[in-house]
Amino acid sequence: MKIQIINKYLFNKVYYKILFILFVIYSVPARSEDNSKINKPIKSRMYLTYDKLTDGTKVLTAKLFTKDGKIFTPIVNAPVCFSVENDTSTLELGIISTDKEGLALLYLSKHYQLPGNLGRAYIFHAEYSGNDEYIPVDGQVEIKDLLLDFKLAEKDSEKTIEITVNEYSSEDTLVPAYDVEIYGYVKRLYSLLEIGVEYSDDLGMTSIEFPGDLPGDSIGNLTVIIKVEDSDIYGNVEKIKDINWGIPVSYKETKTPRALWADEAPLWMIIAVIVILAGAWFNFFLAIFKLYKVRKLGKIRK
Amino acid sequence: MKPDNKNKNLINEFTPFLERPDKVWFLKISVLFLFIAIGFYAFYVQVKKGHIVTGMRDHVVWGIYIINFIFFLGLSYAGALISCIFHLARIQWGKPLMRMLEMTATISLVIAPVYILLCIGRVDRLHHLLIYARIQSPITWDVIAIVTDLFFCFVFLYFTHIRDFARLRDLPEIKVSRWRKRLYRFLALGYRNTPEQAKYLNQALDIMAAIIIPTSIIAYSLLAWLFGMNLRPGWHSSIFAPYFVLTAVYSGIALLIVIMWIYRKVYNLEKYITIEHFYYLGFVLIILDLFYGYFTFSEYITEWYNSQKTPTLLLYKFFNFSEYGGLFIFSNFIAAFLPLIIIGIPWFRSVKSITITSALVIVALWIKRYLIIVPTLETPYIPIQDNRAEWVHYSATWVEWALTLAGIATFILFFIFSSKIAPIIPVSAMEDKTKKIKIFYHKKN
Amino acid sequence: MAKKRKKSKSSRRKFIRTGITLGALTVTGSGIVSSLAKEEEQDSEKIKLLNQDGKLVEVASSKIKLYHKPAVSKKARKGISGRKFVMVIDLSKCGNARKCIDSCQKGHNLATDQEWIRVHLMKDNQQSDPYWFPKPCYHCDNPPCVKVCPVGATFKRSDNCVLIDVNRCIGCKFCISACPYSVRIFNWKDRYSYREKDTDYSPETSVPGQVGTVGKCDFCPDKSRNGELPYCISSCPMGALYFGDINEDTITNGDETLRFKKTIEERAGYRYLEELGTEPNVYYLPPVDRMYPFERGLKDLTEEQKARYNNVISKLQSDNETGQ
Repeated sequence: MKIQIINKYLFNKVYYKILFILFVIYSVPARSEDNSKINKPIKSRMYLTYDKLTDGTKVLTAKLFTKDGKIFTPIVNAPVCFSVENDTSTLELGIISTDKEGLALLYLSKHYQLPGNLGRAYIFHAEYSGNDEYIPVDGQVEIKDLLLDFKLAEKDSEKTIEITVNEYSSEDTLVPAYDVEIYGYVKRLYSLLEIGVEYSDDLGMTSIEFPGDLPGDSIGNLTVIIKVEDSDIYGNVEKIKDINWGIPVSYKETKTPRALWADEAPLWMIIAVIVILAGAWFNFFLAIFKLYKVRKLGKIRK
Repeated sequence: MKPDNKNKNLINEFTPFLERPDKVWFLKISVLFLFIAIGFYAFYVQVKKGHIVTGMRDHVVWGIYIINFIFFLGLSYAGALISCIFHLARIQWGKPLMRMLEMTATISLVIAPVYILLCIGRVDRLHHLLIYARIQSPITWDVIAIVTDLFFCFVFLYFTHIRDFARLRDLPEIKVSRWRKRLYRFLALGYRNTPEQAKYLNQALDIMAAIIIPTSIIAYSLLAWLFGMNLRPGWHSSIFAPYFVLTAVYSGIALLIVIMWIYRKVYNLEKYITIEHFYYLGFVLIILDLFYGYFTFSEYITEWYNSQKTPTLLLYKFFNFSEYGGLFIFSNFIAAFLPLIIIGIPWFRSVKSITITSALVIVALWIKRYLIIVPTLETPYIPIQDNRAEWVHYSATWVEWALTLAGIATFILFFIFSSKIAPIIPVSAMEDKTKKIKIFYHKKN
Repeated sequence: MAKKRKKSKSSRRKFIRTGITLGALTVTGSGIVSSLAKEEEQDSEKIKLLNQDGKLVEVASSKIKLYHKPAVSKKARKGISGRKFVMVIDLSKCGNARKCIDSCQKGHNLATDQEWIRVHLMKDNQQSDPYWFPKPCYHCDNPPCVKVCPVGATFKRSDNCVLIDVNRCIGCKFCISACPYSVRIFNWKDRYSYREKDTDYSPETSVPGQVGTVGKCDFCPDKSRNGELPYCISSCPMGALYFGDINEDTITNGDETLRFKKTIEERAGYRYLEELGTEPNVYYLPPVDRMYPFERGLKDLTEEQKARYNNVISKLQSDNETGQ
């Protein structure tokens, strides 16, 4: 009986036709989906920036990410190869993996001699070779070394920051860098507070007036940061100094007063509560004492 | 000192109530227990699922739990206050009512704090109230006041029972179990009604009565300040404490009338609770009614006249029939006018009408508390902007109603139980008619 | 597979608990770092760390950002020394994008119906135009909520923060009714997010919450300890929210940094319901020169969210009808 039914189905042409159609329906779209996943690597993007820190350390930062509409996603743990281009050759500096924010940072100590070049201008490269999922990408910045320094001057209670910027000539001597946009900041807890923007003159000099009413820490210390930002020629260059020009702010935490909102209650309140409670409970115990006498008299009679 | 011959058999008249109850009694008890059991189930649900099962939400954080709390606490303080005034003023006609008042005071004082516990999100951390106590918080004041008052009320209740326990102990023919007799013997403290013992006992009673009066007034004012100290239009009012105390006494007298009527019916006490009792208390009710009307009017007129933004918004909710208009008119008409009409006009005045008025006043004053709590919480300074209806308007859920009914059931149950332990009327005090007025703390002659 | 992931998660947590995390620098142990090693050895201390591959490496301490843990238990009752946090909200910029709410809920592990910062639609009088009004906790200097707490579960710190210790809170809700700004919310039911056992509770992070206790905006002092802005501030697309320190006289919205006093002075900053005497630490800049009409703020809302503002919108419609 069972065999008959199976035979009936197995050798029915309609059955095979349906099977074939189902096969086509289910297999074809699934395959094409898979294909798109495997064969189309995602376009990766890179930003390469150059920062010269206050101690002369140069930092190359490569940010590796993908963009989908408005959403940026960092590419993590991807090796980025940094190199510097000379007039004649290219020198590889190192390979750094990106962190969880997609950043690969290369620190170049101030003692590290980059290959000699005219006017100390360099072309830095960062390269990500990609893999099955990401398309290779590279970044490039052209940087001329800038020397930024500043002095603090106080004249007639007017405080100014005198800034000098220099660059190297083709003969490797220092010459003034003019028309450089320079920002003055004071470091704050969350961000930098701008105190002025100036352009350097022909002598590579400029000055920023320091506000007289800026609070510092408990002894008036402040951190001043002078910066060249996003310059096409110099990249980012900064110089940081601690100064004592701020108005001291008293950090002394005065003992919190006795208050309704404080841990300790106002004295009158404690006294009032104690007096009222003592009065009430005194009477209570007086009444209990009378009762004790009643009981005592009852025992005597027995 | 021997009791008057006339009242010699007074105790015998009341002992049958103390003896073995009949089937109807057990039926009553089981019905009450059923309500309490449902209440316990509701409490279990609340603990298990959190306060989300109640109608309380982020704006109306306190619902009918706190209304019941205010209500029962009001009854308690009123009972204590009135009984102590009766005692100190030696009001002779008030003697049969003393025990009812003291029972009301003590029983509702036991029930009320349970409702505040239901409001608390973490009942498991109650000990924090002690170990981290902050004296600045009105809650701490309230905790201290309630604990103090609970002690005082229980002790006063016991003091007033000592003579009756002594009488019961000396009654050979009473048909109660042996342990009950032993209990009476123990609780009577060897009281033999000697002049000296009577003097000390009277002194103890006077002291307790004298201290309970200010304690209950302070305690109920503290409860009013629990709300008055909030920076909230509708609550932040200096009239709140006296208003609360007055409302409490008002509801207490109304409840006393209702209990009197029930006792009269159930125990056939027409001989002791007379029409005069209803009339006297009815007149007290009128006086309180007038005071209540005066306070209420002065509360609303000051808010309305200056028309500050948020208080006006709140007042409009009272005058708007789609909000609280109906409840507002019902509660204020009954509480401020009905006793004046029904009891004030002799043509309407009767035991029945006084009792019905009193019962309505109790309901009206419960609603009054609802109107104090809920609309105020629904009207904060920054208008509520929420898309969830239950977040904007409070409506109590079955859990809250179940626990409310359970509270009322417990109240009645405790009354029934207490009537099984001691006479429902202070028998010995009734017997003792020799002394007219004693001087408080009188000197020895 | 699942087990493995769990293991790596817990090891990462342990790593954070040691108090140190890698900042910007990632060490690979090869390449240029080794070429710099000679110089670095001379001028800075070394700290041993695990790198992402699980290898022990040494890194100069100057290259590492220290991660400050949030204060717990008794220490959390004292403020961060020398700080007086303040928030400034520019009402002319707020367009009800609700990003502050989203990021706050994410940061504090809240459900979508728990809003520690709310955006109200305000219309002061018949003539004035409606405006959006973000409302965090005001962290008052004279906080009514702290006054009424019977157990000291909520407290005022020297750095202006008013925080809650949910381990102490008994859930009496008194603080909720005492707050005239309706800022506090109650944890009405148990939620899955409250059961995260790996996280150490701190009043500074307010995570994880507990059923039957109270929660509210905490000014994110745990983020400030690391020099980061609170969640709401850094997520606002319009830069309408500013945060800062009165002692530094500086506020910032992440992009723009301003002097606090000067901003309040020049732009007529005010505190909401000043007459209540609560001394809030949140200032508002009036909605002058609005960036766009308030209707823009209704655009991206769901119908449910729109329904919130019916009280103002219906009034507007009725005003328009009577006006015509």
